[in-house]
Amino acid sequence: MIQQIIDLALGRAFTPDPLDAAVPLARRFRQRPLVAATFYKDGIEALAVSFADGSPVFGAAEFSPAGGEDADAGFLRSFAERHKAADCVVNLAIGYTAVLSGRTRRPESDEEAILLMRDNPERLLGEPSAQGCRHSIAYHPTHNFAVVFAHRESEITAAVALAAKAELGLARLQCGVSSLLIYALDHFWPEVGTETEFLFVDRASLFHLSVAEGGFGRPLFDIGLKEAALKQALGERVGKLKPRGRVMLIDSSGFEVRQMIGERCPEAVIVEPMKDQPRPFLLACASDRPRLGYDLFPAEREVRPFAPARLRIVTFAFWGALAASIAVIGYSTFKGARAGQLTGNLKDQAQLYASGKAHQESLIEDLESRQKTAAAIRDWLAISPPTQSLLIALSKEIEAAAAQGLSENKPVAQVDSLSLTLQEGQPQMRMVLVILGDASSANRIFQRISALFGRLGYSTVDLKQTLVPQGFRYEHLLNMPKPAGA
Amino acid sequence: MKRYTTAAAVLLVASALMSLGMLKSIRSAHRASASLADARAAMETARRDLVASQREAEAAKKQSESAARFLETWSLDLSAEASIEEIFGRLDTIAVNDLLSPSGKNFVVSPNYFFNGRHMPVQSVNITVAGDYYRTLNWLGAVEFAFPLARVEQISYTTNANSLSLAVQFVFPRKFEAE
Repeated sequence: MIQQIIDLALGRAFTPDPLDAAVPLARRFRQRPLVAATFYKDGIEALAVSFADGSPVFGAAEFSPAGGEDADAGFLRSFAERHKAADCVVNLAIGYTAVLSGRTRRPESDEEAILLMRDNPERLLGEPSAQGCRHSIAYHPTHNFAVVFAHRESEITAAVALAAKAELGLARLQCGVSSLLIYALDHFWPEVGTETEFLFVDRASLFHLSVAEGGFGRPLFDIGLKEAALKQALGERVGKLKPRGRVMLIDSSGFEVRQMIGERCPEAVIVEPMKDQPRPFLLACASDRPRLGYDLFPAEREVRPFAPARLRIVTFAFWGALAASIAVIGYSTFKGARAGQLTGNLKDQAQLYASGKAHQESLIEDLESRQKTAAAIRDWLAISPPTQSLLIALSKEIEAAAAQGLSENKPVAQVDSLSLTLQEGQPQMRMVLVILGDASSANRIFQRISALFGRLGYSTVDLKQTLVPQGFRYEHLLNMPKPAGA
Repeated sequence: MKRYTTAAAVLLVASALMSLGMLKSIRSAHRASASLADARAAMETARRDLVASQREAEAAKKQSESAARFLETWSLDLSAEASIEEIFGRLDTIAVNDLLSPSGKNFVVSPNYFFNGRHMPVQSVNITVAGDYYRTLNWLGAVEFAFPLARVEQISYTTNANSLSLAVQFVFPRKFEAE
């Protein structure tokens, strides 16, 4: 799972595994070197394969005569190294038989065909598979007939082992004749007409099949022939062609088979749809159109799964989100940090201003306090009039009263005691005066004193006069004058 | 396709989480910007407040110049009248200079003396001097001159067969600071 996530994230999942048979060969090796090896009985022919617009393009071929497994593997390995290839396509030109069958079932899809043929071939064959063989099927395009090829597992296993020894991945393992027949039926069916005899020839084998609108004839084949034997077999097969028939010839043997047919059957119609293709068998093996070719590889391959292109949006979304996240989070973090730093500076500055303001306010408070203190002292002084001057004034009034009494030849009273008391919390003063003498003389003194207080701004709140031995007691409650400026 | 369904889902979830993180960081940056704007506004307000308080302080300083001078003038008297020993000593000295005989000195500390609508701490000093009437007047004037902040709370002249005595209660303020 983790590997798949990584593959999908890195986009590797969209590059098919070179060994994934469920993906067209052209797609797997679009940008990857590939070599093709055709296994003949007498040797191996190797050539480089590339793909242009989905079609295989073949390089120069090299042939190595059969020299044992090690020599063959060495040849393949060195050839692949020269072409920087790590995978190969194998075309088996040996080890097959072909029979006509009316029991086969058509698969739903190419993928199903590949899987069923690998794991459960009888469901396609309609009968048990031949012992020790793997199969491929070429279906009649319109009728329920098919040519069933049986390929010997020993040949397949040997080819697989050789590729493994050559350290090459086996991208595809097919029988060239089988693939070519399927290819021809798919691509050239309109050329068949009522009936056409297919004749496929390569450097060591030939294959003949009568193909009609409604069915197949019996497939005939000769494989693993040397040059002379092939020529002889060709002569015999051409001799059996219908003189005025239609022949679809696909020849890569180099033996001028067309001329041979022309000489034997001058009225025969020869169709060569792959005349310009020097490697028709390999072309069929390397083609996937219109359907994927059968793969004779005997076991299930461990391949990395291939993600469809529509999942690319997931990869784009992931990397887009990652890039956007890095950019946005980075920018936001930087912006946030910068803003945080500036905010901190501003807060420090505001703190300084606030402490400055607090200092100024404390100063103002102090000044106000001092003003209040000064006002309080001023009030204290204003409401605390000097007493000496008041007593002197009182003394003068008492003396004046006595002088008046003497001048008027009247009895004179005498002040026995005098007290002045300020009333705490009140702007009032209580005066208590005890005068010894008769009523008129005592009253004269008190009247002068009262008049003095009146001149000084005092006002009477309460006045009590009581008798004491030999005199009178005056208790006078006075409102003190308001201080100047109050 | 099916093999990659879970992987694709995981990547999509990761993308969604990253987008979420992105949105969160954008919100965080917005919050930081808002905080910055708030801090800037607060700093500006604080600066204006400081300038205003500086102006107020300047104005208050000018207003309190006369009060400062007044307090400076009276600070010596305040400190001189704070010590009871010094008060008693000077009262005695002045009385003796005026040929009076002092007696009955005592004092009471009153923290809540009510004056002019507020409480204040004071110490009340009582003293009695005996002698000639006019000398008591002189003594009283001399004391009021020596202690200008002393308030004569009560005076009481009494006479007997031989002499005249003057009992005085002075109130000395201990503190004028506003409450």
